[in-house]
Amino acid sequence: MRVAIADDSALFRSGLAALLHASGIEVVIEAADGPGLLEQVTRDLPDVVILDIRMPPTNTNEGLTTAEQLKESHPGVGVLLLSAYTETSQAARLVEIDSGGIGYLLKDRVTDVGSLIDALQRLAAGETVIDSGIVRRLVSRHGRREDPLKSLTRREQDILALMAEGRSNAAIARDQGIAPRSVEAPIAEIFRKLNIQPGPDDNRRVKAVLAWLRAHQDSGG
Amino acid sequence: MTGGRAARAGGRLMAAGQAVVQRVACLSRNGWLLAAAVVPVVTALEAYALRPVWRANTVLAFTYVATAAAFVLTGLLLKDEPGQRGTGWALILAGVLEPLGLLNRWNFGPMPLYAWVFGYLDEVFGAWALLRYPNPRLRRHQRVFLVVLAAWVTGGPAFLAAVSRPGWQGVSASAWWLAWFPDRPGWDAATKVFNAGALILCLVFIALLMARFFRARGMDRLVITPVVVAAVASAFAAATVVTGFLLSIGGDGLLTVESAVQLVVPLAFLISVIQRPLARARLAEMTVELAGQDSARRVQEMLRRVLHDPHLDIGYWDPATRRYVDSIGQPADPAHPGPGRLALHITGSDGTTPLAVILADSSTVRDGPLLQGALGASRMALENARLQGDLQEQLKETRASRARIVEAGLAERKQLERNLHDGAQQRLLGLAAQISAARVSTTDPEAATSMERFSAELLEALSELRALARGILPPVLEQSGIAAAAEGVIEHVPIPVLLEAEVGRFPAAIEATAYFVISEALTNTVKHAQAGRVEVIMSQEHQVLLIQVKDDGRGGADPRGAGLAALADRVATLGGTLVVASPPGEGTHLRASLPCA
Repeated sequence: MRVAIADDSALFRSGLAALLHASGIEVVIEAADGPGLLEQVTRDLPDVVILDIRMPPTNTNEGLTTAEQLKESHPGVGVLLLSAYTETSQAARLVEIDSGGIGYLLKDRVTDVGSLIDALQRLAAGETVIDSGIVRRLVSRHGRREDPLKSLTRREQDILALMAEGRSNAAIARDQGIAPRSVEAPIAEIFRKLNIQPGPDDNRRVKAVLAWLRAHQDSGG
Repeated sequence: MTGGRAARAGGRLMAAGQAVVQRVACLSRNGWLLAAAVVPVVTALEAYALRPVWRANTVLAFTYVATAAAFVLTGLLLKDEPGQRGTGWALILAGVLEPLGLLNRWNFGPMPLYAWVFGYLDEVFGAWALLRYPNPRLRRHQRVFLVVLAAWVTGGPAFLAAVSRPGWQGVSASAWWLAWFPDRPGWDAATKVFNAGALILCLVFIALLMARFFRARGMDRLVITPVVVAAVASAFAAATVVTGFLLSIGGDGLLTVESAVQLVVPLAFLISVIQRPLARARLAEMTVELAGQDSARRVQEMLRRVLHDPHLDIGYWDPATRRYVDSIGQPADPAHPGPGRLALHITGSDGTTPLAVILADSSTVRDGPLLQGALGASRMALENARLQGDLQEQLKETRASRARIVEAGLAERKQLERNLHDGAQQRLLGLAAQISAARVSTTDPEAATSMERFSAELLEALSELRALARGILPPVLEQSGIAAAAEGVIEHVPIPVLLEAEVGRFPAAIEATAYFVISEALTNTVKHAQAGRVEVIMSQEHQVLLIQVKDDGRGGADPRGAGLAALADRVATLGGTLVVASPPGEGTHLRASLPCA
């Protein structure tokens, strides 16, 4: 797999590149900002682009803007946004980029090589990836509000979080330590409670969750 | 209301009574003996002078003597009024001379001739007194009128006496008479001309009085009104008598009525003299009212009322532009107050700081004590207003400087937060990536374990760093506003939170303060309240961002405690308010209002 990295911190960039390299992933581009990355990407298209959300000049959401531009010109490229914070509002905006192959992880995941590589592979395959920490926070946040998510049980919330990460039923069952068949009932219950029509595709399930979050975000101002 | 008005009217009546008493007391100091001696003596002499009349027509004699006594008494009272010495003497002379017009009833020696020629002199002095009150400076046409009047009422009869025989007037042949060129038809015609002229002079006099009345302003108008009414009445009475002569229907009856009508003139002067003390009584009321006022605007209104000058204007000193401005901010020019107006400067109690300039009718200066009182009362109110204005200005300045400090602090916090993110945090994350890379590369299980421990330690350090940064200002606040930042705060609260944040974006200082209010309130709730549930409600109403944090905990929070006091300070810096209700056992309700116009 070939990836590109854009991050204004040279230290983080080189650390991440070393990590990926050690894991057998080829880092073809290293850029300090969005425009620099876009320029090089056009010449040599990677499978996945890793972007820091906050980059110069304003250190707000340059990564997100770059991701939008990249997805517009090269819809096939997987995009992984990295953030040093759990910026839940940014995660909700990801849904605006209405295509697969986009993900959002906390930078802390560099210490969890397994999930990082897993995420990159799923993005390259066109899946959607949301950091479990962010999803849990989103779910728990909404869980505290007076809204339908509050009606979910603890187990259903956990399962929803895993679903939102794009996990398959089998993976969820493994995570929860239950039989794969036992996962289907709580999922159906989640969809029923959230009034979402279930679909066969994992990616669509994530989208359904995110679409619901987006709708909530919009109505929440 | 009615009770208050009645009480006030009663107060005025008392004041008027006091004024009369004061006037009498004043008189006793200046010449009570004189008045006590002069009035009875004059009255007695007058009564003696009218001896023939008492026998023939007691009512006529009594009316004349009474009117004379009233004029003399009024003249004595009035001549001690500032600027009214001449008026007082004119009234005294008019009073003394009036009965002498009936000396012809003696019908011997010089008496008839004196009465014939000088019998109307009292009218001249009366007219003079009426025209020169309260402004002693006569206008040119008024002086001309008085001269013509004096010439006509003395010269005319003298001419008539020259062209007649005493018998034609019913005067005894033994009495003195001119009778230089007796001519019956000429005398008849001249009599008619004289009477017609006298009638015209009466009418001119009425016209002059009306003109004075309509020209008078302010206090003058107030004191002149009863006098003008009385003067017009007596001028009409005189005109009626003259008309009676013209139509040859004159008689003692008409003279009695005229003299009786003239009694209203001294009465009117008395009323008029009392008006000023009454105005002063109102001034006392005004002083009390103004003491409770801090508005300079009210001063103008009050001065207009007390000084009876509806066109009075106040120019307020504006220290910024170093000139006077009126109530709507237009420059007022004390150097050119306009015709008939004068500029009175009011300075602060230090005597040098300009406060205001009053543009009033020039008649106002005539009542010195009233004006001084009014100016004193105004100074007090204006100085109060000025001090309040200064205080407000200082308060505004203090607020602005506090706001600047907060802004600076905010900028520093942002910088600090950025440094933490771009500096320390990125460095730690970079290190974490490096360690991970090493961990992946190594084959030594012992090294791998160490590196995994390093990673865990690093993540712990990162989490501490983030907690620290969160206490400063979260980046989401700047990016997405207070509603999103509040969600970030409640994510870290271990008890259920209901968040309602249907608000948009606000200026950075307001969002930062709102963020600190919510953070501090929730921290307090978690630390102290033992609450099972907390609500955070933000709303915007009429340019005010309202933040409410309510918990169901044990209450008893002390709003004067360091944390809440600091928060209240912060809120006050933006001109907002922080109210904390925390009755023991009933939860805590914190309510912050931040103006965001």
